[in-house]
Formats: sequence, C-alpha cells, structure tokens
Amino acid sequence: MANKKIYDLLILLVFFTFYVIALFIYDDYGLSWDEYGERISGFVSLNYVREILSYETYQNYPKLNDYIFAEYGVVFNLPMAFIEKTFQIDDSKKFFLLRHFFNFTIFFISSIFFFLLLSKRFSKILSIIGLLFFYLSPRIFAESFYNNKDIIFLSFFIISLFYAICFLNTPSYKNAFLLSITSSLAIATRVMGIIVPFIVLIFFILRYFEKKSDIKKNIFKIIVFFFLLNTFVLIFWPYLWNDPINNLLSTFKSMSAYQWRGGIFYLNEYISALNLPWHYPIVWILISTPILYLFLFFFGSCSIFIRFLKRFINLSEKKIFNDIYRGNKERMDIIFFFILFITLFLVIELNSTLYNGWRQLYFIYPCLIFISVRGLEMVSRKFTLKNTIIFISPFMIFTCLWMMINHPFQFVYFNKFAGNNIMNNFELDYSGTSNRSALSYIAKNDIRNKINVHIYSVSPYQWSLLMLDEKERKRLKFTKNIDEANFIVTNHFYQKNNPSVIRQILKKKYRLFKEFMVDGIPINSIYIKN
Amino acid sequence: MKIFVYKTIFILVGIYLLYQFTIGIKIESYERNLKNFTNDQGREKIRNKIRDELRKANSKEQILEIEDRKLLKEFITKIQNELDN
Repeated sequence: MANKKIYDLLILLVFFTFYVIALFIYDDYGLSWDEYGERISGFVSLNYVREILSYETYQNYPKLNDYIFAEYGVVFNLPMAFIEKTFQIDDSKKFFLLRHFFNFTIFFISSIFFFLLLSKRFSKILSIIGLLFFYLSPRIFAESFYNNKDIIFLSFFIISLFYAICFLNTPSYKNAFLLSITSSLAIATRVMGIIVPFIVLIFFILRYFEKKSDIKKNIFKIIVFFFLLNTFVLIFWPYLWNDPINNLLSTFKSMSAYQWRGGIFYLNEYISALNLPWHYPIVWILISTPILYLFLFFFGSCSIFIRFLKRFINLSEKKIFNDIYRGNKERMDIIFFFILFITLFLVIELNSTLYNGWRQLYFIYPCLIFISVRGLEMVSRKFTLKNTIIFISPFMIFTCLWMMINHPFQFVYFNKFAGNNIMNNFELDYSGTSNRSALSYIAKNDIRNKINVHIYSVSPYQWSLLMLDEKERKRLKFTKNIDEANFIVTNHFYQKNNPSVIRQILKKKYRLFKEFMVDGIPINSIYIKN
Repeated sequence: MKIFVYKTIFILVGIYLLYQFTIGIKIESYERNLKNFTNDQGREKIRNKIRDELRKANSKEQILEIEDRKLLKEFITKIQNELDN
C-alpha cells in the first residue's frame, strides 16, 4: 500500500516536472518549415465552416476547393485558427507560440495515455522507466513543441491505441465510443490512423477462432464502433463534407504515393524522395534513437518474435491454451510488434515517399519504446530490476544532460552509430527551426535600423522572422543580391552540392560571425563579408 | 479452421518473402536505376558522372587511340566533303 503511494507520487512528479519544464522552454523553439502553411490550412477550413454557417469569412485565404493542400487533416489547425481569431491574437510571434503551446500540450496528454498503456502491460516501475524513455528521446522531445503534423498524429495515434487495447480487453459500448472518437481524430490528422481500426478488426476476427459465442455477444459493439468512426471522421474533416467517398479515396491515393520531388541528402549524395534506398528509414531510426533504447528494443523484439514463433509451431485445435497469444498482455506485445514491423515493411515495399529523416514514421516510435520496455523487463528478470536500473541510469542521465546542453536544438540528435562525418552523410536542420536563433542573434548583435540578410541555403528564413519580436522583425530585410547583404545565413540545407564543401567555400569567402553547433556540427551559420 | 487460416497466412507470407529476397531484390535494383532517369537528382548524378569522365579524359596526354584518330579524321573529312558538295 505504501509502495503504491510512492509510485503514484513518483508518476505525478514525473508528469509535473515534465510539464513545468515545458512551460518554461516552449517559447525557445523556432518555426519549422510546415507551420506557416499549416496555419493557412487551418484558416482555409475555418472559412469553409464559417461559409456553411453563414458567417463572414476571413480575407486573403483561398477557398477549400481551390486549395492545393485541402487533403490534409485540420484537426489541430482549425481549432488553432479559431482560437487565434476568437482571442484576436494579431502578432505573428504570439499566434505561433500559441500553436507551440498547444502542440506540446497535446503531446503531453498523449504521454499520459502512453503511460497508461505501459501500465496495462508492465509493472509500475517499468512503466515509469518507459515514460522516461519516451520523454528522453531528444528528437521527439524537441519536435513535440513545433511539429504539428507528425507529433500531433503520433499523439492521437497513442491515444487511439490505448482505447483500442481497452476495447479489445473489454468490448463495451463505452469503449467503442471512446475508440471511435480517438481513432477518428488520428485518421482526420493523417489517413495512416486507419491502422488502429484495422488492428481492432483483425483481433476481433482472431477472437472468433477462440470463442464463437464471444463474437455473437460483441458483434453489435464493433458495428457501433465502425458506424461512429465513420461519423466522427466526417465531422472532424471538413474536406470530406462536400463529397465524402470520392474525397477520402483521393486522399488515400495521393497520400499513398505522395509526389514530393525534392532531393534528400543521404550518405553523401542527393537522392530523389521518390526513389529512396530500402535502408533509408531503418538507418534513420538507428542513428537518431538513443542507443540504450535500441539495444533493449533488439532484446524485446527477439523475445516477442521467438515466443510468437513457438506459439505458432505449437498451435493446436485440441489444446485451447495453444494459441498464437495467451492473454491480453501477450496480445499487446504482438500488436505493438506488428504495427512497427509491418509499417516499416510496407513503407519499404511500397517505396513510400519519405523525407526529412523519418518524421512521417514517428507514430511507430511509441511501439519502439514499448518493445524496449519489454526488453528491459527481460533483462531485469535476469539481472534483477535494481541492478538493471543502476546500469541504465547513467545512459538516461547522459541523454538528459545532452538535451539540456543542446537546448533548443535537440532535433539534431544523432547517436554514435551515425559516425563522425554526419554533415557529409545526413541532413541536419531540414525543418529550419534553428533559423529563428540565427535571425535573433543578428538582431541582438547589430544595432542598425535596417539589416540586409541573404539566405544562402534552401530554407524559409522569412517565415522564421515571424517568430521574432515586432521591433526586430522590422529591422531585418531579406535580399536576393548577396552583394547588398550585411549578413549571409545558412542552415546547411541544400538541394545540390555537398554541405561540407559549401561550408568550406563560405568560410574562405566570408568571415564567420556566429555558428550554432550541436556536438561539433554546425547547424546554422552567419557570415559577414570580409 | 483456425490452424488452417494461420498456416495459410504463414505460407503466403513465406512465399512472398522468398520472392522478395530472391527475384524481388534484382527487380528492385533495376527499377531504382531506371527511376534515376526520371528524377532531377538521378539525372544530376549522371551529369556528374559525365563531368568526371570528361575531367579524366582532359587529364590524359592523349584521349584517342591512334586507330580511332585515323577513323575519326577520315569520317569527319568525308562528311565535310559531302556537305560541301
């Protein structure tokens, strides 16, 4: 009883500490590439809703039918646009900070559900460690503040997965309702959210093999779930209102073969995003996840796979306990295992368009952590939990310190597997989040009223300007003519030529004014003319 | 019924994986190379290769072999004569 209270206090302390830290640091992060466009998407859909409700629409936004990004879900952006206008937030810095705050808050809420998921499977202490693994994931942590596509989808995916597990464990109308809402939020953010209802359907069918009477008892609950799912997806996705079936099919079609024609700098060459090598997502996961989690993930995966294989080999109609899984906990292992590996497999097999690391696959990261905790459980059985915690603590403290030292650039985290020549092999600040730091540094260290800045890399510094204070914003002007520029900025993200080579050329031609570094790698550089 | 379904799925997955790890790898490799002609980055790679070859050729003392020189000289002279006529 006393132990339970201690654990409960510890859990609350972890959540409280994390949220308080986030409240202090959420305004340190810059603007990522997609945020500007995502804000517009929110207003396009808000105008569409206002038009239907016969309200006046906001000016200077395209109509939904004419908007090229109409197919994207607006579960996050539409409410943000609504809040922005309701509270008359006119300053660009404030309305992007508002989005960062809510972006993080949604992620925080999903972390609570992730902990609850872990608690369903593991002991309290392992669940707390799993939660700490989740928070101490540098890239995920940083992007939880500004990535309003992949992290928002990850968040809703976790929440829908939690309710999927609840529904599978205890099929009830209440769980069906909650699952339908959360799954539809995930699907309305990104169509990949369809994975969760698909998992529910598969395991319901598998249940049929175990107990046919169970299906007769629960068939209406699953029908209600799918009916409510369709209804809520329609409600949460204005793009579908006009022509639900055709628009949904066109979204599936365009998202399954997304035509992003940019180049990806990978292993010292530029490759088309439409023609990536099979190892691209795997390498990115291996170099951007803390090594401890990867090792534990390896043990956990082997354990789950071997057990699954043994159960499969010993399948028997006569012996009812010989099934591919026994009990809810093993079913959870299999669900997380297959979500991760089958998603990876399909992405590779279908040559899905990936770019900017593996951010489109962030939603499988909780599965990776779950399997890592499974591996940790295995290790703790062999070496005792106390010894295991003593062993892993230095690694976790190191990761935590690394995140603190490199704040707010945790999004450029690479582990030792990435090698020494990172700049020659991988993209760094593809989202341009460090651009704000560069512009802010210029504004604070140059007193002129008008400062001309030339953007040398392929990155939208002009949008990052919106995150500066109004006075600083007015002083900085961008120029395409490098000769007119007072400062030359680059985040080393290009579409051709080796970034290291370009950096050497710039260093010879111009004087380095300031360089923002992470682990000795330059992620944003400011030059002035000699 | 349950075992039949599981084993059917297992066999189908096995056949698919066998195909992928044998013929599939080869086909994918050819596909990737062909796709390089249809995107900017692939074409840039080809251009860079041509540039490298030209640089190598320029660094040599002689680019053409003696026989090739004779053949090309004869050919160019013949074309010129035909054009003049």
